[in-house]
Amino acid sequence: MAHWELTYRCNLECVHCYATKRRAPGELSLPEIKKILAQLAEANCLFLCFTGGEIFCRRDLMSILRAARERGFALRLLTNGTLLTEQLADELAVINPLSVEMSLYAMKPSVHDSITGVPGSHSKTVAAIRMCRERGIRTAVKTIFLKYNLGEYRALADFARATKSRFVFDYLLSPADDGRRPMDEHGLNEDEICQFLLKHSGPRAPAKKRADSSRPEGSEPICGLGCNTFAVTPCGDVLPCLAVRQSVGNLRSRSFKSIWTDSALDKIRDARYAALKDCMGCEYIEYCARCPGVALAECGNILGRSYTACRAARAAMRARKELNRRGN
Amino acid sequence: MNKTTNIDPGKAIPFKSEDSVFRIVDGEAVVVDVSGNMVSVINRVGTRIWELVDGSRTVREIAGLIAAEYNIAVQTALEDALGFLQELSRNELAVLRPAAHGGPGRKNEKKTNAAAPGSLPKGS
Repeated sequence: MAHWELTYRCNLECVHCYATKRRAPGELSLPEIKKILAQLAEANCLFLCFTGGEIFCRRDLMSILRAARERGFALRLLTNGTLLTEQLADELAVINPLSVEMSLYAMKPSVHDSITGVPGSHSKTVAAIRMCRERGIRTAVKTIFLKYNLGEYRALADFARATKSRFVFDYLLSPADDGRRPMDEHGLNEDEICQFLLKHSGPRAPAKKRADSSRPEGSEPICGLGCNTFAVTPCGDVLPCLAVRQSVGNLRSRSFKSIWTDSALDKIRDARYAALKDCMGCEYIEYCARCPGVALAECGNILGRSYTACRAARAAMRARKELNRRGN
Repeated sequence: MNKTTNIDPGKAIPFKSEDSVFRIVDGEAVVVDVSGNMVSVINRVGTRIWELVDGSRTVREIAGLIAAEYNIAVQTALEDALGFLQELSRNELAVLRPAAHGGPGRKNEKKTNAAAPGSLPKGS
C-alpha cells in the first residue's frame, strides 16, 4: 500500500490539520508522476492511495488518476470533496476507484464549517458524497472526533448508512509539522476518549489492539512501515509511511527500486517491540495503538514514548474496566 | 456457462474484467476486484492461464498452450482451464464471450474468491 501526497495545497483550513504549514514548491509534474507510476507498478505495488492537501487542487488530477488506472493500480482517494463537480464525478466513475473517502466532521453545517474554517464547505462535501453515490462510486465518510463534534456521531453514522458509505472515524490527532500539538487544543482528553468509547464502541469494545489479546513478544515487528507501506510526498520524497516524515530518497534523482532496496530503510524495517524500552513493561500495552510516526513527531524517536498513544491506551483500558463492571 | 451456452465453450474468448487489477508476485497473481473490494490469490498454474487471457485467445488455444507447457493431455487442460475460467467468470474477475463478441464489460458486484484449476499440476 502506497500513500501518495499529490499536493499540500488545500482550499480548507481545518483546525486540527497537521500539514497546514507544509509547502511543496516543486510538485511533481504529470510526466514525472507517470514515470514513477511505471516504477511502482514494476515493483508490484498494487494499492495506491492518493491524498493531499486536497487532491482536487491539482488541475491534472484526472490525468494522474487515468494514468494510475492504466498502470493497474487499485485506487483510493482521500479528499474533502468540495471541489468535485458533476463532470469530474462522471470522469471519476469511469476511473472506478476502490473508494473515494471524504472528510465530514458533522451533519450540522455550522459545526463542520467551524472545523474546516470555510463557510459552505459542509454542503459541498455532502453534495460530493451524493454525486459519487449516484454514479455508483464507492464512498467513505471519514471523521475525526474533536472537542467540537462529539455529539455528531449518531447523525454522521446515519448519514453514512443512508448514502451506503463506509463510516470511518478516529479520535487521535497527529502533531503538526511545525511542532504544534493540535491534540492538546482541539483533541479529546483522556476522560473524553473514555466516555466516547463507552458511548459509541458497543459492548465488545474497546477491544484490545492486539488480536490475540496478549502482550507482544519482543521479537515482533512494531509496524509494517517500510515493509508493506510507504509514502510519496508532492516533490517525490519517499517516506517509510505517511506518518514517519523522514525521507529515505527522492524519486527525481533515484529510482523507486534503488530507494526501496537501500539499507536506509532496514533500520526502520528491523524495529522490534524489544526496542521499545518505554513500552514493553507498560500495563496499557495491550490497548495501545502506538504509531511510530507520532512517536517520532512527539519525542524525536520512532522507538520512543508516544504521549498521544499513552493517553488513548489509558482511556481504552479504563473504558474496558467500566464495561466489565457493567457486565458487558 | 454464462452467455456461451449455445456455442462450443472451447471457442469462447475470455477477457479480464475491466474491474479487476492485478500484480504477479512470486509467480502468483494477486487480483483485486475493484467493485467488490475483494482480493484473490491465484496459484501458479491459474496465474499462467490468467496471463494467457489477453482478449484474443480462445479457451481452446489457452488450453493448448497449457497442455504443452505442463505436458498434459489437451482434453484435460481444456476441461480444467474451462472450469477455472468459468469460476473466474462467476467471481466476475473475467468474462467469457463468443469469439465474435467485443471486449469485456463492467460488472456490478462479486462475492467469492477464485480458486485454481483442479487437476492441473500445482506449481510450475
